[in-house]
Amino acid sequence: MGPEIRRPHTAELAPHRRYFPIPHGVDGLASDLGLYPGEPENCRRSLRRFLPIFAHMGAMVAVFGVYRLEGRAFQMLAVIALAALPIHYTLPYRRKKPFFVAASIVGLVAVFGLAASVIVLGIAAILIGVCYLPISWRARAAIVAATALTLALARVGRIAPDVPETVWAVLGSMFMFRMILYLYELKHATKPEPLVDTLGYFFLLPNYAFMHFPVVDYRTLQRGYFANEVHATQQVGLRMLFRGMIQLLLYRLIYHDILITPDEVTSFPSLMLFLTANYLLYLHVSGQFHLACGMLHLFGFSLPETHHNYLLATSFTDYWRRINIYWKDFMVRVVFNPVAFRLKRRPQPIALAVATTAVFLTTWLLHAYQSFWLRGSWSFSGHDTLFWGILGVLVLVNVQVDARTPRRRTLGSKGDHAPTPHMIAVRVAKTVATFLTIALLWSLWTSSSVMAWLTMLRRAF
Amino acid sequence: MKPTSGFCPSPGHFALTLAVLVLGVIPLPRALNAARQSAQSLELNRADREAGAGGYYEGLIEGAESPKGTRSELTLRLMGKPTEWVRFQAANVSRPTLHDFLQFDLWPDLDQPLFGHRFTTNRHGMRDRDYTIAKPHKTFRIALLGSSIDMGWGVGDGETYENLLEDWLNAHAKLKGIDRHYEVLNFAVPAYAPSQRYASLSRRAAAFSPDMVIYSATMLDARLLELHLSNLLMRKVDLTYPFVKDAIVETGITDEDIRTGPDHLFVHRDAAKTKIRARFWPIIDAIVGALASDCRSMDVPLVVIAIPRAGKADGPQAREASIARLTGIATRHATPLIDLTGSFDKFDASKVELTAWDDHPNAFGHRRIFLGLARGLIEQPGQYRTLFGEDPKGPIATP
Repeated sequence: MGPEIRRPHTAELAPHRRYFPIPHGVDGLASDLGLYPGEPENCRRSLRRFLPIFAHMGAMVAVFGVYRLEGRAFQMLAVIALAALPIHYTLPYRRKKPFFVAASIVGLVAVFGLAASVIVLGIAAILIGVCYLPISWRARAAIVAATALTLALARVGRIAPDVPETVWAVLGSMFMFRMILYLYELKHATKPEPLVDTLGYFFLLPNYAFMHFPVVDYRTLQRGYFANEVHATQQVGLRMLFRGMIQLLLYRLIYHDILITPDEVTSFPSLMLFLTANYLLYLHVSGQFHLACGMLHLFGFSLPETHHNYLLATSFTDYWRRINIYWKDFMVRVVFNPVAFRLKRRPQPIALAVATTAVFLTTWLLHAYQSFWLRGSWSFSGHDTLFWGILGVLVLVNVQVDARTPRRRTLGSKGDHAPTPHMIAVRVAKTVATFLTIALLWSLWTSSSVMAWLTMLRRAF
Repeated sequence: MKPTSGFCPSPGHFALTLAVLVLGVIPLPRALNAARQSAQSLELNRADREAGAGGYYEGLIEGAESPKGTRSELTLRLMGKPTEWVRFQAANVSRPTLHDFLQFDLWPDLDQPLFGHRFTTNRHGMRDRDYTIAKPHKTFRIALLGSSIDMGWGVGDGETYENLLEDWLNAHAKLKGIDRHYEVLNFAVPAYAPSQRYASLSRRAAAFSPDMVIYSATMLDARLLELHLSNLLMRKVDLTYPFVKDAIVETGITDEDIRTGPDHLFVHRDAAKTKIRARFWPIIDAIVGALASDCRSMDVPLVVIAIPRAGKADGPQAREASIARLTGIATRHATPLIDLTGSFDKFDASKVELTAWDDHPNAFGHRRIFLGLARGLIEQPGQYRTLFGEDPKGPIATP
């Protein structure tokens, strides 16, 4: 986090905007070119390049089934994705996104059943419909907020108690953060967003297997759509799926065979084992995020990676930048930048401190908000507050130090000399120190109470 | 966010994917197979089963709040649970008797579909064939005291291990020309704790004049016992049996621990449960002791069996300590123990479990339990004579 974070994309129009409208009266695919007339070059089809991708995805689906990865819901969605993939690939460009939305809705119904899906679709139609009302942005935002409050009352059973429990989690997963980003986009948009883009943003096929879903940015999703050559995008997706699959398999091995309970911590080695295994449970989250984004890549959405070697972070700011990158970007976009911009006349350290504090305060509140929609409880607790407070202070101090330190080239950057043993040793020491600190904080966050956490630590020393 | 770009050919990833796939299906050495079973397991781990721990993200991924050690409705849906699959309490097959020691039992004369199978109960509220209270002439009756697995949760009427046992006993007697008919009476009710199973003997089974009693123990008994006893305390139900009253005194539960609020729930939610759990084995010892004593006074042999759930939860290491304690208790009360918990060890969980979200055994699992139980019964010294009224003539054809 810091002032160096920029708007994520080029200012170019997205390819689908550049090439609209598709000329009418053209039906046949010019097979020699692999393109329908008027389609973007990135959409060019090639059976020779697609078949290995399709085969690899088929092998992935088989692995998901053999290892029962993430349950039947994900396996069903993976099969739907596999079946939809060749159809999506061959469809004309302008039909691709509507087809993806349709496949996502099929996935929703397959996982949650028709009754729950109808309610989800109805409420989604209301929320999205409000965003298209021909009234001011403020009025639309206010109506969306009022609708969300009504839904929150339903979530706690004050109204509509007969609605299935799963409906609220699904709606929450689809709208709780993405609607904030969508409204943020609408505020700055010069013209209404195409409906299919909006639907494609809220109805994301893998979402129905992963309620805890990466906070995908609206503009990033639209700009990434066929932004790169389609086979390259799909290959990136397959790599993401593979990485996610490996992470989830490792997670299960750790969860079942290595993780010990806090009660079993009786010595320093057992504490180290617990801290490491407990922290590595996060592989469940990063693995799911990789699977989700990987699946989106197969349908032409070129998206950033969700995590970047977060176990190798060398500082707390570095950690914050590497773990759950979508969340970091979400916070930078809707909290850090607006706060820092308002304080632009103040000295930089003050602006950074206030903006960073605002980010962590918001993160703490939004994690509780997320818990409310997905689990039905706010989950505020002393140790939760302490976790976010300590992490916020560590990042805040780190941000200040970073801002005062002149930029140096990092290890391995272009033109750099070979790293000296001293540089390597310092980097390793920083990585280990960051890992242990975060693992310790993580154990605080996952403990049943601060007292239980302290008791565990006392037993270890 | 910076979009990824560039072409990344990944034949290596394809090969690795195929390698992972092959590792998932080929026979592996025991240690590697255990690791593969972990990688394939959708179950909660030991810590989460016992404490409902797991932290913020585990909770989000697991979904809505649910009782400790269980999965939420949302999680079950994501695991693939169809809408019609319900928990026991929602299946509408049990009759609440909240001010009685038993707390609930099965409705009599049920005949309804449940999870794609026919679920019937007889006129006595047993998930079993119909039996008269008076024992027919030349009939040998076995009363089975157990919980959900024994009742046959999720399998068809004819697929329960106790029905398979009854059929085999009759077939074996016919084969050997033994003039004796067999009835295995299933008094098992889902979620019945050891204390409720004990009470079933005098309250229900004794009237049917059993000739043998089988008490079924599971690795889930600690949780079931703390639920049953704490519910009795919360609802201020008479503890009925002196050994239960003594056991509660010995847990050190105070009036404050069992104080209820306006919602009639404990003010201190887990205080009583924690204290009961700490005294689990002494209470089990008292229950088995009382059961053995009652059976002796009825002049009926008692057999304790230990049955497994499917999956890692009852794997060899996980159950080792519990089986050792149970064996010690059975020995102390001069009661034979047939340990069936290894019945599924040779099989992947997916082969014996009902579904990925329900670790009750399926029909194949029930058959495995039946085979183990039948062999265990006839191989126990003297049991063959008890069952068939004579010593085996020649080698015994075990099922």
